[in-house]
Amino acid sequence: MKNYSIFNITKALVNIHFFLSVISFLVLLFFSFFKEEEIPQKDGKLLNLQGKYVSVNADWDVVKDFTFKNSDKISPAYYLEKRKETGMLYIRSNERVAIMIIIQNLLTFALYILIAYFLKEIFNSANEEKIFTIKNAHRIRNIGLALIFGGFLNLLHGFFLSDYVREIIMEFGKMKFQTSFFVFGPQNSFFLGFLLLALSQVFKRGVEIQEENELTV
Amino acid sequence: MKTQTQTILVVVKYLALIGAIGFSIECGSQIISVIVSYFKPEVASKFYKISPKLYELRSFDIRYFGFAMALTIWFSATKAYIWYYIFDFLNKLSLKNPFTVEIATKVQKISYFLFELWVVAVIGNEFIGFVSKESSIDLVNHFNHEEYFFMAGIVYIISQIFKRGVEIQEENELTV
Repeated sequence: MKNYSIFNITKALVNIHFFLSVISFLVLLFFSFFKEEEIPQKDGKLLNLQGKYVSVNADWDVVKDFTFKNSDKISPAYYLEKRKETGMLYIRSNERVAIMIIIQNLLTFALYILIAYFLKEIFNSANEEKIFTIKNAHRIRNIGLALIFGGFLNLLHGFFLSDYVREIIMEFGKMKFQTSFFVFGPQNSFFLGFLLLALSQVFKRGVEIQEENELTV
Repeated sequence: MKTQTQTILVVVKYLALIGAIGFSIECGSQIISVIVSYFKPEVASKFYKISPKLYELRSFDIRYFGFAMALTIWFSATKAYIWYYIFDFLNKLSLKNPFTVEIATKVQKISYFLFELWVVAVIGNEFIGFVSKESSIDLVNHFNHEEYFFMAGIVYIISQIFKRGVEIQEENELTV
């Protein structure tokens, strides 16, 4: 019997990753509803945004001394805040685009958990000494499809946000948004998704060959 | 008649080729931009996939600019190579016998390349963080790094499954 230590370590990591993803999803859900988010205002007071605004990381080329006019209002539909490392776009939660962002974020995180679940299932099936099954080929394919779908969601996210804040974009040029939960940009999501689709097909072919061999024996 | 498997593999193969060409153009544009910058810096900053902020860095300190450009070129060159490697891998893949040690090793190599990309991005981000402190030039998010680590992880996991599959297959053959 060969030593499968690397395989076993990876399997343990995949299992831990799955449980951590589920826990972090619950923690994020909890904090997105209950955390207090206070933003310092020009008059020195703190504006409590709890449940009132949805925040999105935004990266743009801001002219240094520019102040966003609509941030002076008490409750603007949206406003931008320049931070040291990246900017933050705040959108009032009753805006249609904000609801879409929340749904997209939840969906992308659900996809993330789904990917972690499929990986866990593939590794657990290896216990039975039968790794080349059509189920596993489908699991790899599903991970690929989940990533491609995640890429589309990410694209839509950027598209709707860009459309919503086009007034600012027209003034500053390009603006890049980051989804809160999904680590992949659309480009890499498609890249990995298609790669896994290809690998799932190779896997499927392997299963067919194995079945043919078993029949021959 | 082509099977669904073959069709998907051909589509992905050509997508990989398009990716390789795209990143090669990006890499080429960055190399040419660096060369042109020694003669006409104002033109060099307008090249495809070049951040004008990198040229602000040039006027601040040419050594910082050189290092940042070297990392940027390395980053896009690695991306182009990964895409080409996938194209080559799919091109040479034999569907008659797909589960070989060679294939498993190649999948594992893709994960190593992605990991290399992550390391370059981390170095790049640390360097840019340092430059931001030294100057007022903000190049944050020039290198995205988290995703490459995750990608490398997924591909590595799949490669381990392939390896394990090959081992089981070999054991079965020996038993028979």
